Amino acid sequence: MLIANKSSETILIKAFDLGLIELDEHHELNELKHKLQSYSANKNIYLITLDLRRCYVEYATTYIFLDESIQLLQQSEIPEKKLIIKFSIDLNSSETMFQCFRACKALHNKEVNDKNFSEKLAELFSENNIDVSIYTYNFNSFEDSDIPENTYKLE
Amino acid sequence: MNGVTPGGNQIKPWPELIGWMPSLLCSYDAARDAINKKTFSSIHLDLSQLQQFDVIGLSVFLSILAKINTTNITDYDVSLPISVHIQKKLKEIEFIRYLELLGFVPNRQLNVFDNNHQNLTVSQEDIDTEETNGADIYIEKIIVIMPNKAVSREQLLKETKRQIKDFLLLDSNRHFNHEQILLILLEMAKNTIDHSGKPAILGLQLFKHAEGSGRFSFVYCDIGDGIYKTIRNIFKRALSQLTNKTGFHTAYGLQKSELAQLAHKAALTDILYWAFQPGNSTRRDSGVNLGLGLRWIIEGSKKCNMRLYLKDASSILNLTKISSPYTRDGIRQLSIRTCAPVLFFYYGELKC
Repeated sequence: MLIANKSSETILIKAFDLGLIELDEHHELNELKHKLQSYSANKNIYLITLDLRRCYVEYATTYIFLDESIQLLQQSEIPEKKLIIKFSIDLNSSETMFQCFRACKALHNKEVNDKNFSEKLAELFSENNIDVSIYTYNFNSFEDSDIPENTYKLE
Repeated sequence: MNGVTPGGNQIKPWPELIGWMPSLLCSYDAARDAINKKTFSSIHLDLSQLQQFDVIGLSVFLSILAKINTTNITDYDVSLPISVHIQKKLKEIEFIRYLELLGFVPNRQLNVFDNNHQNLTVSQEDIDTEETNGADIYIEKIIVIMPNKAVSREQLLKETKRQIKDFLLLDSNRHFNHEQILLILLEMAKNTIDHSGKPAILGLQLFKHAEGSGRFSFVYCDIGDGIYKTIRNIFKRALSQLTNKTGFHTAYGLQKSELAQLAHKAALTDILYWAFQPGNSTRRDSGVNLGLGLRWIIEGSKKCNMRLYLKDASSILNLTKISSPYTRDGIRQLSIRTCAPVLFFYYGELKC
């Protein structure tokens, strides 16, 4: 289900409801990217929620839609913005969970390496006033009201 | 075919190939070494006494066979199981096809007892030989991953993912975390393609009981050298390229003295400790390899309550007992030296 209209300040994308279950395949990745691009005219976005529960993802390609999300929030005129990502997978640490941003083009000019990745990513978010949280859920969780099992944030 | 006496180096599996342990009970080293060293060129795969198997046991057994250099084999016979039930099961699982994929194309398929048992009947023992443990649903599959210059990395991963996803769909009520399982198995497949370059055999097994409990198990066998031998060999080559007496190998982040230590004196514990550190990878040039795969395998397994074992060189360790930050002592404590042949595989089990 896509819950938003183009003048709204909140975007919620539930990928499973859109039929975008295989977000490890280029076709569905690009569909999600295009869905996000359709909001590019909106300068008042303050929250993007990407609900990727029950979707297959591959960390080598998550940048395809995460770059779009970052770009939407960067160009927003709202002072403080938020990005929430919901997963069914859990890799047990913030350092690992945030690797989904590793290949993002938004980091290309920051001379990122394995040791400074978390620091540079935090810097990117801070420069753009974006608060990012990754929530992980029980693998059968699907409701908006479900409580996450873990919350990961960059320190 | 009747009356032919099979000859050559005989390889006979343990009669009850259930789980990964029985495959390691028999020593096939002599036959394998004789063939790999070109001492002999014939092999007799004697399955006549096979009475039970599951895909876990069969996959490990296949990986043992796959270590034989088949280019030296000119004469190869297979004796099928005496048990009609087991013959049927092997046919259902397409065992002969997997053998052929690994280079074993038999000259002859023999029923050794053709002359003496013309009217084989299915015995009650055969019918009772079911490994379902009372489960209502019992599904098994073998997937062979064959790195091949003709097939791109992306295409091979896509095909592998498709097969794994199709298997997971059989768990229609989602008793298990499909997304996490795929992530873990895919990291193993990437390691095969990026580091090993040799075939891998993935055996998948799903039990679902009527009352709701169940078990998902897998064994992932990589026919390559394994982490220990591969990394040591790479370090030896890297060391030989450092021409200065003192030097720093930038790709691996090691001083020359450290590199020398790892190349020549490292135990499995030392190599695994290096491999488990984030960013350490011997194949960063693949572009998409972030050097995190092993950590993801371990942490992903722990987080979904999977029991995960690693067999490398001659040792076995329970990876899900390792706590981060990984230490040499922690890895050493969990590592158990065995008399088993040198093999590399992961075994994972999830219960619900």
